[in-house]
Amino acid sequence: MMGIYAVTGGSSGIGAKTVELLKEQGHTVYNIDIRDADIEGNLASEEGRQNAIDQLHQLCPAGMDGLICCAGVSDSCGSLKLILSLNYFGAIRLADGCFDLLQKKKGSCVMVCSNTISQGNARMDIVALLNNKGDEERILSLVEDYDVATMGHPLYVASKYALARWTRRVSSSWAADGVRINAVAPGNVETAMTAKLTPSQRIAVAALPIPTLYGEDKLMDPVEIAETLVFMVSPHSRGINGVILFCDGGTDALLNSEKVY
Amino acid sequence: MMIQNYVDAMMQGDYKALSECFSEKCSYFDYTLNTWNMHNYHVYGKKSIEMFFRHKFTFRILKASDAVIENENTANFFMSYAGHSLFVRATIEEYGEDGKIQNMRVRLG
Repeated sequence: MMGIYAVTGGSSGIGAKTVELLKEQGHTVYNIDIRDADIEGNLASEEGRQNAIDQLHQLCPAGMDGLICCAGVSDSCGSLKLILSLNYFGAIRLADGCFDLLQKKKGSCVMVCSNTISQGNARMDIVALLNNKGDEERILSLVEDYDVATMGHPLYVASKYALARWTRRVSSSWAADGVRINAVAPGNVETAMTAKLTPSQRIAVAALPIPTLYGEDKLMDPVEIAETLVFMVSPHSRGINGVILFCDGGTDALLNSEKVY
Repeated sequence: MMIQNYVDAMMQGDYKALSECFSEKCSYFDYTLNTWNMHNYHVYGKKSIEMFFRHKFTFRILKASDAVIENENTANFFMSYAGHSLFVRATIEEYGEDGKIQNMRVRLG
């Protein structure tokens, strides 16, 4: 049966591949992005989020089968506030705002976090503030004067860790109300950005080995992540809820074999 | 001696040379990290050893120094784990049919 899905960040990278796969399956897909999208807006702002939520309610009055939150920026975006406001608050606010639409069709939600959450570099104090305080304005004010050069990566990881934990926290009550929610943690993926890495940057990226690509000196293809997202949002994964699924070719298992649970 | 090859590779941070010390089916356990509330290392397979140590050496998470060969199967040295130094002893507990390391264990010295 054909479904109705919304994908944030669907204009490029993993999000674009996800939109493509869903459309190939015959589904109706609404891409929400800052440009070149069905619903254009800045999910880092409250206005942009509410606009997207309102438009989805107009477009899908009978509900949605799935929401996939791919929109996010990397630690090199140059703005610590943007990292937190888009990667974390943008995702959870949109999910919360669309819960009723997902509930109508017993749909599911998938968050895109990152396999960096298991590598120990997150600022866990910021994670705790995000998850437990949740006051966007005050948290953004707190990080305003942090050094972006040294704090970009720890705050990026913090945003993704907090997103993963939020997913697990809400998953039980959401599922009890008919909506599954999970997160996918991708590894290093070939993107327009990684294509421009310097040789020394490439060495650092390659030092996070991807076992399924052993010996191939390349990163994951975005379609590998997109296929997992499509599966996780589909009825074929109906027994899976509250899970952080690492889609990284086995990097996490290689580096953290003892972290079974 | 294979233990010398292992020590040389560890001291130089050469993950390829390190993996070449091991049989295809092998295991490398480092039990020392629990002493400071970190997960121990359990790595299986030659290719995994190459990938695992590529990560550790490239990001300077592991650094071996001041190695002493005790006998044909054992060496002791200082190991820095992300800046936390321990005195450790690495022992080849079993060899594969190819004469390379099948099982290696690293414990506190």
